[in-house]
Parts: sequence; structure tokens; C-alpha cells
Amino acid sequence: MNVVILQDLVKRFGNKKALDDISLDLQENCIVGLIGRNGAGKTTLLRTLAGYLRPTEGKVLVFGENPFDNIRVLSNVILMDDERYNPSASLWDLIDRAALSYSRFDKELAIKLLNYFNIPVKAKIKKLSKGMKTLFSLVIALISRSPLTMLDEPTLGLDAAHRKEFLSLLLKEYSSYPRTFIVSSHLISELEGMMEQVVLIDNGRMVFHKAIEDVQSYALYLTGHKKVLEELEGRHNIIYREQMGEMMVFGVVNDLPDEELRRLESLGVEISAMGVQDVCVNLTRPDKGGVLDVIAK
Amino acid sequence: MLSQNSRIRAMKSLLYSYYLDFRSFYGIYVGIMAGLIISKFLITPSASGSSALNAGLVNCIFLLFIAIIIITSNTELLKKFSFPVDRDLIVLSHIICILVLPAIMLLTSCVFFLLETAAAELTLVTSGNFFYSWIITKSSFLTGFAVSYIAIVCLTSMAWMFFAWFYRHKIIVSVIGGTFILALIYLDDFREGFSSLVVQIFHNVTPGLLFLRLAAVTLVSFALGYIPIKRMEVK
Repeated sequence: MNVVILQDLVKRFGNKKALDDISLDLQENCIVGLIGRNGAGKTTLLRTLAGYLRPTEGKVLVFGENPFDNIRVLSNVILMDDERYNPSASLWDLIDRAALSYSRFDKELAIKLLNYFNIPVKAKIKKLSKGMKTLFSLVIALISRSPLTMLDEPTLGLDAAHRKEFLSLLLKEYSSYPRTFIVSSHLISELEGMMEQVVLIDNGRMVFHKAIEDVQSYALYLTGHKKVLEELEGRHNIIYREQMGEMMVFGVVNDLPDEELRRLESLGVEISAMGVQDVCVNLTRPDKGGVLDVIAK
Repeated sequence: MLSQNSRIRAMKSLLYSYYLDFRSFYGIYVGIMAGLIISKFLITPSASGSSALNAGLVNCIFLLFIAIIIITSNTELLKKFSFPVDRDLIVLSHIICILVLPAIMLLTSCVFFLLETAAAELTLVTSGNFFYSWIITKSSFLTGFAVSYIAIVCLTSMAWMFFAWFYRHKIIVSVIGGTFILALIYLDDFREGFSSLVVQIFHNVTPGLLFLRLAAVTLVSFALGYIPIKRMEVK
């Protein structure tokens, strides 16, 4: 069953296109990483799926229905967003509200987890640090056990230990109560181990939707002499290049046949896989060069 | 497996949230009422008319107006969307608040009135230098309560309708509102026409008819205020 179906989705704010012609199907019970640079449209996409925003054009279906103003859908969807909680509300009151709102919410476990993270349940939201707010929102989102759980930058403000614990908790919850997770984050390398699919968006457009294994083998780094690598230009899709004297590093989409790879190796070219994070960064790199080019000028 | 009974769950959750919000609001109301009545007793040696009922009415209108400005704002509405809710439920919960809060507040002012009466009786027994005169019969009290209640509900619903539009369409509402006020100030015919319309609807009618007319204005306000909230996005 498809939990999410997007067809030619366009969302405009005034003249600005925040989402541009996005088509996407997401199956149930999987963890999807939503990757993109700042301002790529990740949050707008999540808010559209959460029924906050109305699409300008195209179709959005969540559990087979339009989520906008649809309580049947929204009761089965949660978007983690700590900025939306009433700052004057106490955590206790918000936990009570979550227990009233979500039929599967486990209040006892939520309180146990907050105690474990040393977050005082009687405190008000405004008294919490950024990290504590994030942890509280994560606990609410994970323990709501909504069939579609969306986490927007879930590790923002968390220290390394808490990030690790969050990942363990997420995986434990996922194995005990399978559901569809959409996790938007910049920390791709940390989430890589748990993502099953990756949706990459850039400037409101979808670059790809692939299984994580396909992204892991999507591109290669080739490091070798400039003269050897330059002959690849025009024949292969090069998504990254860097020159250091006579040496060059090319990032190429992995459509090279095995014999060509062997030939390059025999010419002294080092071949290594491009990580998911680098694939995403290189595919969404702006054409205006890197930040060092700005300094160089 | 998708959750069922979502609307009832969402409504309970939303009403719980408004209960939490209005708990402190009610505390402010009681505090102001108590302060007004105690200070009046301390300042004046007489009580010609009920401070509790008069202060309750004015205080209720004033505080509800402020509450409406807050609950219809985008910031406040966004907070309600932190848990599943749709726009119909938001409007319904606002209508419930507008209908229930004035009743609670007016009943509280009646309790204050009883306390005030008891205090006046006590003062009369213990001090010869004090008098009070207020005559409230059962029927005048009930009529006054009903008309005061519907008048507050009507004014609050009109404020709700206005701010529901204002926060969503600031420029259009400001232009229309500004033009209306300027027309009232500078166009004599318009002012007289508007005054005569208001007089025709509300003046010189029986309490029952006044109640019905105010209720009709309330219903129209609710219907008009529903439109912008139904269409709004949560940004």
C-alpha cells in the first residue's frame, strides 16, 4: 500500500516556487530520508503532507486521501515540530494532549523516556534548552506511533550521545511498531545506517528517489593523473571535480563498465565509492563554485 | 491500521487545550472582579447599585475582546495544529468558548454579587453610617442575565468574525474597516442611515425580541468568521 502519493505537486508562496513538479510514491513501513540543502523545500513538503499547506497544483494523497483539513488522515500523521508547541504549556499538559489525540500513544513510556533524558515533565516548554525541546518533540513523535511519522531535523541541538540514543530508539520503535518514517536531516552520514530509501530534493525539485543501496553505489571517486581522467569528460556524467596540481579527483556517476574501471586502475587511478552524503552534496551543488572560490576571488 | 474516532479524539484534545488556556484567563477575571469590589468597599461608604454585576459585565466584555484578539491570531492558531485538528474543529471550539465563557463569567459575577450583598448586610448591621440600595427581583435578574449574556456573546462573536478576517487578509480588512470608519465620521447621510439601522434593530423592543435579534447577529457572525479560518494555511 502506498502511504504517500504525490503527482506533479507544485507549491507556490507568492511568486516563489517552493515545490516544483514533484511526483513520488512512498510505500508503507519504511524509513525514508528526505535530503536537501537549506531552503530546498523539505519542510514545505513535510508540511504539505501534514495537511498544513494546500498544494497550489497537483495531487497529494496520504493514506489515499487529501490531507489538507482532513482529520481522518491527520490523526494518523505526526510532524515533529518543537516550534509549534505553546511555550507556556507544561510538558505534562502536552503529554496529556498527545494521549488524547493519538490512540496508540503510550503515556507511561513517554514519561519514562523523559525521566531518562532528565527532562522535568512539570517544566514549561519555554524553560527547556533547544536540545531538550528537540528530545521532547522526538519522544512525542515516536511514542505517538502514528502510521506516518515525519521528523524534521530530528537531531538539531542534540549532543552526540543523545543523537546515538535517538537512533537506537527510532530503530527499536520501528521494529516493534512498523510504520512509515520520513526523516529530513542534514546529518546524512549519521542517518545512513537506518535509511531504507532516499528522496533528494533541490530548489523545490526532486532529484531522485532511490533505495539506499542504489545511492551507495550511485557514484565513484576517481583520483589520478589529470591527463588520464580528462579523457572521461564528455563520455561520463561527472558530478564533482577537484584539481591539485597534476592530480585530479573526479566524482562520476557509476555507469562505467567493469573493463573501463580495470583499465583506469591499471593507469594508476584510485577508485573509491562516493558516500551517500557526498552524492547528495555533489548533486545539489550550485553552479557558482565553492565557498573557497569566493575567498580566492 | 489507521486510527478511528479521530474527530472525537481531536475535539477532546482541542477542548482540553482551550481549557488549559482559559484557566489562567479565568483567574485574571476573578482577580480583577475581587480587586474592583474590595476597592469600592474600601473607598465609598455606600453601595447604590451592584458593583459586582456592573463590573462583571464590563470586565467580561473587555477580557473576552482581548481573548478573541489572541485566539484568532495566526501564532495562536498554529499552536493548535501541533496535534491533529481540522479547521471545522477549530471554529467549533471557538464557538463553544464564545458561548460558554460569558456564561461562566456572568455566573461568577453573580456569585460576587451574593458576596457583595452579604458584605453590605454585614456592614449595615455593624455600622450605622452605611446604606445600600439595589432592588433586583427574580424576573429582572433573569431578564438582565439573559440579555447581558446574549449581548456579550453577540459582541464577542462580531469581534471573532472581524479578527478571523483581519489576521488572514490584513490589507483588505484594514481598507474596508478604515473606509467604513471614515464614512461614519465624514458622511452624515451614511452615519444617520447606519444609526437608524442599529436603532431599528435593537431599540425599543421587548427583551425576548432583543435576545432573538442578537442571537441572529451572532449566528451571522459565526458563519462569516468560519470562511477565512476554513481556507487558511498553517505556515
